[in-house]
Amino acid sequence: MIWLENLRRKKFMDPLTAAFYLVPAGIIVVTFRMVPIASAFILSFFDVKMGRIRGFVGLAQYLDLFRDPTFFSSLGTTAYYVAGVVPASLFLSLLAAVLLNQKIRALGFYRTVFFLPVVTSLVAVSMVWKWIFHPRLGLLNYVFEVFGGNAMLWLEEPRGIFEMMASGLGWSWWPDGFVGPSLALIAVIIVAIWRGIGYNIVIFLAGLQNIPDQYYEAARIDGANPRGVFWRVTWPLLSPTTFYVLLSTTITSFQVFTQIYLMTGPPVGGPMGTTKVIVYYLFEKGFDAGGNMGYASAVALILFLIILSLTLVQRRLVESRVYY
Amino acid sequence: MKCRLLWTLLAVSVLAVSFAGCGGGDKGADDGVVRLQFWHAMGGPLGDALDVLVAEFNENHSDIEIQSISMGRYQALSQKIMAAVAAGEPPDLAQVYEAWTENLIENGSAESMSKYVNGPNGFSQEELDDFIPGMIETSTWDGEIYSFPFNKSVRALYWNKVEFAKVGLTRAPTNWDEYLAYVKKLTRDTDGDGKIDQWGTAGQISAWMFENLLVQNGGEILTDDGKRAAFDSPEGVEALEFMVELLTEYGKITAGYEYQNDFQAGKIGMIEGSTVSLAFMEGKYTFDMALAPLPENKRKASFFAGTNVVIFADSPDVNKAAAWEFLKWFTSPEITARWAAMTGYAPVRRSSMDLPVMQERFAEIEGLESVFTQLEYAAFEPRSAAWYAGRKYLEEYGVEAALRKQMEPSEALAAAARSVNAELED
Repeated sequence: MIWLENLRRKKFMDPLTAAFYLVPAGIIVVTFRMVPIASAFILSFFDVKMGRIRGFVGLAQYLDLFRDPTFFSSLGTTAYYVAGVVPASLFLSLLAAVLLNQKIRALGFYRTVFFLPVVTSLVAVSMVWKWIFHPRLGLLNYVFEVFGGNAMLWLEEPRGIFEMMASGLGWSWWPDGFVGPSLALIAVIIVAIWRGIGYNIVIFLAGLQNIPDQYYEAARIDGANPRGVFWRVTWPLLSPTTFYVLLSTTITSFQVFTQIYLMTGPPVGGPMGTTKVIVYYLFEKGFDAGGNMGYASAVALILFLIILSLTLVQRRLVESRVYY
Repeated sequence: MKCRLLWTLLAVSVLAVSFAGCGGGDKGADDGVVRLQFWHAMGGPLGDALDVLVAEFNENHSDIEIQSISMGRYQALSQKIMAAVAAGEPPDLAQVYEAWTENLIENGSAESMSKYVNGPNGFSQEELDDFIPGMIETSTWDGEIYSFPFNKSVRALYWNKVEFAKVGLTRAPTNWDEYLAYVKKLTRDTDGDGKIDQWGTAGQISAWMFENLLVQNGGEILTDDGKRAAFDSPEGVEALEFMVELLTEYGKITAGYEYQNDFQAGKIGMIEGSTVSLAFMEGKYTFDMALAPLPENKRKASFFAGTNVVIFADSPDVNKAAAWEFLKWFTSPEITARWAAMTGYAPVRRSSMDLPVMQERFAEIEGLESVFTQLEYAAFEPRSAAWYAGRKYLEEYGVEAALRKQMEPSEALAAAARSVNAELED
């Protein structure tokens, strides 16, 4: 690549060199991100059945959407899912990463153990967990019963967990609006946390190893206790990583599909539609018999806007507390 | 250290990606053999039976090769067909419900079969009259045949003769009163620990079961013009109340087909199921079992379930002709009888019933012959695309909400009717 080397030496060619390196990634991003987003935006104004545009409908699909109770209930389900997965996943993966950052024996083994779920096919993971949650043959209920607990329906339980806790405490009444996510959704959330922490741990570990040892040494010389070291040194210096993990986990949680598709039902999204998240709702509207891709595109666009605005809000709120 | 971590990550990712990529079929090797893709949702023993017949067809037709591709379940099949049609790459043949066919016709993707049925390589009027009543009609739109009957089943009662005998019963219930009285009798605590261990019946959350009860009770699914829900009538409420009583007081509700396992284990007195359940239960029970038609109430009535097969309009003409050849062969009295004997689906031809293969089956499975008498009066569900979506609401908001005791049957049906009506109005 002597000609490239020559190009680089001539300073005025630098933008061109940069462009040269950016083109491959650029093509991929434009083809697989920008074009689909733009076409979804356009399609959302049309009636599209089986890949054919049947006519321009303007904003009608958006108006239908805002009158569709299933749309709002699936948004609510997604909100429960995100609220269930993100904080727990962040906390557990940070905890594990800090522990794995110590000089302990068999470190490689532990790291492998935590990372294994990430590299296992999500399909296989979902099928195995579906068996674990099986009300009659599942491992989880077996363990519960061995320890004197009650078998639960797990993925087949449509009742909200707050309502279940209330009835467990002997309260016969509970306000209808506050029943909480169904136990079935909680089961899916547990799997998502289990599956996701491995990846987050690796990111946190990289972040932890980026913190120069001098700071820890200085803190120790000053007589800081481990808690002080964590909150005064590790936590602030880790904040860019934490911020990144927070953002990426939130975004991927909003987009959950595979576990729902494979673990719940039949019909998928059950019991009683309590696990029907927004992306599955979109898929159903677009690809089921009689589906309308335009309507599904409208849902996709709303989801895009929700994630985008949430990301911007997170940046505003959190970034001021991030130390780069 | 950091470096090693990164490398490990990279290696594992590469490994994961290499497992992800696979598939890709070979289309159109140029050796004069017409290769057809047949997409279906037959799995387990049904898929095995289909593969046996497809292999036999391929062997006897040196110029045609049917590639049977199972999508596992109907919902996945529907989604794959819709996506393939949208992408302009449909298969040659596929199993479809009537509602999907209606979408495909509207899209111009379903080939009219009338020219094949009435053509030189078609069926005579005598042969057409031999089809089970309604089977061709449910495949006909505006006088054109767009699909062909393939796998249709009816519901049946499976009863455990040993358990029946223990409580002094000798035959299956024939009406609702007996149905309820029998399940009550069969539900009991045999070991005296105060817990019921033997149940009268069991089932799953199923719109199909409710629909059958509804019409037996004199109700209808939709109004005559098909524009509004009619299942929320007093007859419907009564039917759902009956279903709730059967399955929650004297029975157990299980997810999916689990209840069949419990029945096979001898824990349940009788269950309702599709005639196809026979294929899944065969050889898995040790007690004396028999089948019976569903108990009647105000009238004898029953709904078919199952699909037809369409030929896709985009396929080349030679493929379409070959596809028709396959359907014609598959619906011949002999083959449909063997298909029925292997799977429990209803044979699509009346004359199949008299063939040795069916007669042997009837001798083997007590009551199967009487179950198939339902074919003479069984009806088809509304076939509009709106009802296909509506049926999901009936199952989810109506039947499931009532069976899980989230709502009273009347409330649940009213809620389901509201959603169904909204769907039908669009």
